[in-house]
Amino acid sequence: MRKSLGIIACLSAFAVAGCAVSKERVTLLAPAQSGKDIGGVVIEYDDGRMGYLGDVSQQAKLRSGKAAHLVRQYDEADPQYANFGNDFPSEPVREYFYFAVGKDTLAPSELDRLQAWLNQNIQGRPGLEIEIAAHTDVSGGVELNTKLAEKRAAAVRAQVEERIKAGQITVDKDDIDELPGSLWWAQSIIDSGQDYVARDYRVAVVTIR
Amino acid sequence: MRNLFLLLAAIFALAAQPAVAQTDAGDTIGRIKNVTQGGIEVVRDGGKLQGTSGFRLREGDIVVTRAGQRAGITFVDNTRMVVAPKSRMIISSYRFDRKRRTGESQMTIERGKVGVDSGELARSGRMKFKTPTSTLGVRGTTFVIEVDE
Repeated sequence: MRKSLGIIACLSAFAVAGCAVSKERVTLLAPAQSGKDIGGVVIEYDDGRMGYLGDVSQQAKLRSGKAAHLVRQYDEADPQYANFGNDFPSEPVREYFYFAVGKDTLAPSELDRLQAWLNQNIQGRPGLEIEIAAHTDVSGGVELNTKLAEKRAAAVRAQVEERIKAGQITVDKDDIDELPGSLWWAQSIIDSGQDYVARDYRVAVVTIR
Repeated sequence: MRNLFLLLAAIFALAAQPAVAQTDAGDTIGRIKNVTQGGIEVVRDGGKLQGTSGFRLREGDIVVTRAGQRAGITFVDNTRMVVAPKSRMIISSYRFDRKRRTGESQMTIERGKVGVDSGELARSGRMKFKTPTSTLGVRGTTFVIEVDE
C-alpha cells in the first residue's frame, strides 16, 4: 500500500512538473497595422490583467506562472516561425471593374480586362474561390440601386461563366460567388468625405481567394 | 493617463458586441486551401469529415490536425490561417456581414500551433481567440498562438 502511494505521488509530481514547463504563448510575426495603437493583439489573462503586443517579434506568455504577463521583445524573428510565412494560403487579391451609367453588364473592354486579370491570378491557388460584389453610385435612391446591384452581380457572374464555357477562363462555376453590394458602401464613402468616389462607385469588386 | 486610455480601449474592444446581422449558420465561412496530402479532419455535428483542398468550413466546425498534417485556411473576411500539426481549433462563432464587411468571430485553440494573418474582421476589434487560460482580441496583425497539451 505504501509502495502504491509512493508511485502515485511520483506520477503526480511528474504531472505537475510537466504542467509547469508547458507553453501557452502568442508571438507577433508582423507589427500592428497602422492606426491600431492599442496593440495588434490585446491579451486578457485569466486573472483579469491585460497585455498588448504591437511590435514584430514580441512574445507574451499566456499561462499563469512565475513569468506570466511578461512580454519579451526579441531582436530578430525566431527561425521556428519562418515556416509559417510560407504555409499561409496565397494572399487574396482584389480588383475593380467599372460599369457605364445605368448598365448592369460590363462593357467588352472591361470584361476583357477582368478575364485577363482572372487568368493571371487564379494559378497556384488550391481551393480557389472568386467573389463578385457589384455596387452602384448614390443617385437614384435605395430601392433602385439595390435592384441594380443585384442585377449587376448576377450579370457579371453570367458574363464570366460565358467565358468559362468558351474555355477562356479555367474556373469551376461552383467556385464563383456573387454578392450584391448595397448603397451602404457608397454612403460610407460619402461619410468619409470622399464623395467624388461615391459618385462613380458603379463597380464590380472582384476578389480571388 | 495614456495607459488608462489604452486599458479602457482594450476592455471595450474585448467586451464589444456586434451591432449588425451576420452570416447564417450553415453558410460557408471559409475554405481549406493548401493542405497536406490526404487532408485533415474536420469535426461537424459530431461526425468526422475529410478536409481536403477546397473544403467549405462552417461555423461550429472543429479543425483537427495529426502529426505530419498541416492546413491553410482562408476565411470570407480574408483572414488567413495556418494550422500546424497536432492542433485542434474550434470555430466557436464566426459571423461576417459580407455587404458591410464587418462582424465578429471567436475561435478556441485547444492545443497545437496556429498562425493567423488577420483580415477585415479585425478592423471591428471583435475578432477573438481563446486559449485554455486567456482571450486574445485581434486588432490587425500576423501572429502565432501556441498551446501545449
